[in-house]
Amino acid sequence: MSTKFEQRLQTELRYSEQTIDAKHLQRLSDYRQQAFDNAALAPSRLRRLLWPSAGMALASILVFVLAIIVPLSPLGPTVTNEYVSDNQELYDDLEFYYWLADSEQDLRG
Amino acid sequence: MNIPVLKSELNIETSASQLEMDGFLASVQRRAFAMARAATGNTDDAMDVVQDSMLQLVKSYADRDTDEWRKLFYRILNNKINDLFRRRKLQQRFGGLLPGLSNLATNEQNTAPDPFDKIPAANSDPAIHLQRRRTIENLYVQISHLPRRQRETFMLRCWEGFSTRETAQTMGCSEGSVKTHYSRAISALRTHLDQPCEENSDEH
Repeated sequence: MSTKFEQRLQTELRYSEQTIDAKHLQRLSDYRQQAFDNAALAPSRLRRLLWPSAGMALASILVFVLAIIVPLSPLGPTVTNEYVSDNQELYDDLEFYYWLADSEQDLRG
Repeated sequence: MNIPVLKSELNIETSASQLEMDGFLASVQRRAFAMARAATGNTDDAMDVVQDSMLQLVKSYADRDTDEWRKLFYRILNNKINDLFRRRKLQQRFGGLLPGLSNLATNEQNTAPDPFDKIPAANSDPAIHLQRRRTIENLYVQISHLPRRQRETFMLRCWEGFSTRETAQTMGCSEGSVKTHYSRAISALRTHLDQPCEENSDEH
């Protein structure tokens, strides 16, 4: 800033600061006081940073505990599984059914 | 002077820091208010802007190095002024739709008493006093009409007296941008304040 015009602007602007009335100056002082009061009541930055971390840790522990207590297993046999297991029994005992059929035929025959 | 005392951590170190912060805020409050009023054109809005800026500095940056406070404070102040302009724009667009916003939209200039009404006469001649007051008011109006970046640069460079580097750091831009914005701001003010162009405003 070097020109006379700029210097004149600065002089006028700084002069205007000195002409603020007492009522507004008092309000500014009150705001200053309030800023300190509110800052004292607000949670500290460290506490604000700790909250999300603590929340995440708690959630992780909860998930871990649930995973141990409630074992992960299917709720029940599916239709396909039941069908396959029934058929399997039929195939396993196929010889018995042949024998049973032959016996009945002999008895009739 | 009424020294604020934090309710937590009352020890010598924090008390000294509070004292420093309070002293700093007391030293900038007049200029901050005048700047906010020049930018917003409204006394109540200017008060709100300064209050928010003080609160944010104390709450978020009190632990920073005291040398940084001035730059941080003016950066916060500029941000708060810009927030206010954004809210005003929103009010202008949707003020009719949302009744709560219309109150703010109508809270324009001339609703509050002018804090500069009681400018003491430095000179006994009332005509000179009146002329000076008009000059200042006109200057404030012209500052409020500057584009955002030009206004910020002008307030930091000319009014606060920051160097180009300090202004660039505060605004978060390059020194070249500061020079450009400042040159344009001075040129615009020179034109609108009807000043003769006898000097080169590009000298920084």
